[in-house]
Amino acid sequence: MKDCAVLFDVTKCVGCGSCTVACKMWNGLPYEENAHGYDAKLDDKTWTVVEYHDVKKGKEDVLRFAKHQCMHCLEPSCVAVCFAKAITVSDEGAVVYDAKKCVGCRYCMIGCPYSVPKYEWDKVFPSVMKCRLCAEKLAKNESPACTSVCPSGALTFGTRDDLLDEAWARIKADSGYIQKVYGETEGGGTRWLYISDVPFKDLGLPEDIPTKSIPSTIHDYTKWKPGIFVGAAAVFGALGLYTKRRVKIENEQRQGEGGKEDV
Amino acid sequence: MFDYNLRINKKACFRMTLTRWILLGLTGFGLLIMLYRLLHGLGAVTNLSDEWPWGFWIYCDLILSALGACGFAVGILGHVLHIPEFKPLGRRALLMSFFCYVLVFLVLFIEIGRWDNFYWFFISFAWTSPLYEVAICITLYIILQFLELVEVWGDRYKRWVKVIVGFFMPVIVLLACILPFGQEAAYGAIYLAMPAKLNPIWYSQYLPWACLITSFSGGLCFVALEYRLVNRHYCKNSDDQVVIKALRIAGGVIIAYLVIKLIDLSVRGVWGEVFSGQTEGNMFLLETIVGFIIPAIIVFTPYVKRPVFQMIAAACGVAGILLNRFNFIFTGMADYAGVSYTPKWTEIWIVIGLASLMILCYLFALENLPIVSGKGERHGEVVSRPAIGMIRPDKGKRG
Repeated sequence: MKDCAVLFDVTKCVGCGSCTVACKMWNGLPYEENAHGYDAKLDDKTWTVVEYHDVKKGKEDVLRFAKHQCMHCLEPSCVAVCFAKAITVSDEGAVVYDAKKCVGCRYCMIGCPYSVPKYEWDKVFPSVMKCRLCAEKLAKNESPACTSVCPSGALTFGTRDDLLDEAWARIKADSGYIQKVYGETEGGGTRWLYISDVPFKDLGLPEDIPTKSIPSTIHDYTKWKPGIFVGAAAVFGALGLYTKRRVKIENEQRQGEGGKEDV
Repeated sequence: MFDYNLRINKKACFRMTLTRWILLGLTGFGLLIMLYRLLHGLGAVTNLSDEWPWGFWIYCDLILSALGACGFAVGILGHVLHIPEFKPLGRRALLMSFFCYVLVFLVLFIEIGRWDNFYWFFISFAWTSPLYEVAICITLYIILQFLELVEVWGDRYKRWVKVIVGFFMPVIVLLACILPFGQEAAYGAIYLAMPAKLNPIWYSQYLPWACLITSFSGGLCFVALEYRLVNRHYCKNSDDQVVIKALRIAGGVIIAYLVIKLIDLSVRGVWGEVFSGQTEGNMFLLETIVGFIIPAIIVFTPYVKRPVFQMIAAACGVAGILLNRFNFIFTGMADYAGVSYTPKWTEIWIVIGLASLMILCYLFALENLPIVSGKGERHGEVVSRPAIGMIRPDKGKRG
């Protein structure tokens, strides 16, 4: 299936953490305490977490759960900034990492607007670790491990266009939702889409990410470079010849006037 | 024109002084920690974390590259624009720039997590990444600078080498004046990828170009500083006009930078952030006043004629680079990271060790290659005023 995506409906999540367990089992990651709860935190052994958030909904205090993992951007920053082309986008749209090519510059970690890639700091030859949207399952037309186990229907797997229609249909049908699909335009759009009844920033989703994708922001700079190199070569070459000749003529004039200085 | 100081004996010599023994000790210590880092990984020797994937080492890379721009700045002024005052500075700037960049390369090597894979980037051709642009430009630039140094070496030891390399020199010099446009700007472009992380005072579409021009002015200030310090020990007389001219040009570039920054801050409307009294705003004001406004004021007033003020202006110009890079690597990112980062002692000592090695190599080259020139100096003439850590050429031992 091309153009894979996942819709996460915050209002339906019950915070059970099944998705985090499924993720660890499929990817062979060791169990750790931080996969779900108030202190849940992504790390090299935990590629998805369910965070608990006490938030205000209007005047009401409510408990909400937010699943975090790689957002699988349509135009991923990590792919563009990678030093060694170790991160690529699969045919299905999953952003996958190849440790064999990785040089370990960690630019993907700092360049990711969601700070998703994590590092194996304690290893001699560390790898970058992050959700791969179960790329090998997608290639076999299966859904990712986390979406297949969700008991409450909070996670829906499908194509991005279908899921965007679905998300807006749900938002229109229920006035409780925030009038926004998070991930529709963030950084040029992501494959993980969020809809919620509480503000996204209270769920740990950064709201200041520009709609213009980071690769195109960088390209706005890079596109000048060939011109600058060629232009500088031409200008410097010409200037160099001109100023050299001018210095020579000045010296000749000085010599003509009786000066003894040589070049 | 000018002569390079050459001693009569043609054998390389390097007299060890107390300072140099200390530098050698530091080198050994640094290399030991470096070995430990290569065998035990990043976690063992650094305080880097998922919140701060980049730290002290990246900072060292950025400031050394910016100061290493001295070679490129003097190259453009001396060998493209043929301004006579800058010709004698060419080799001195080249030497400093070369060792700065070699140090950048060494620090990058220990900085990357998978050093066993380091060769991969030569063949990856990841042109979309500014960091790749930095790496490839630096690699090519070091090769060009090495060829330039081979010519300098041939000048003294093997004339035929000088003749052969000299034949290609115009092309090498031209390329060496163009390539730094790649890496110096790309260092700023690296941070274009953090629109939601870097503080808006520094985050701007113009960050790469700001880095490019400040590296030019910082490089010139660095050369002015080097000219005074090295001449004190290796040359009888120094030419005030050279320093003044270098500083004036640096001042002009600084004013251009300040105008661009002023317009940029106004257009994006972040003056509120600058004067908010927060750490970020205060650090920006410190950077701008100390590193850019003070040197600009000194160089365009009569104070510039006094050596003390020349030194102050040059030191401030260099400090401006150190502060500016510090601010957008640490100060501007701290708010997003949420936790604090202090480099571990091993992180710092590896760099001190490698830097000591570079200083020793630099001094060796300075004393054995025709680098320093001075008016009235003749080949083999004895240089006065030796000082601690510096060699007295008339008493230098052979071997």
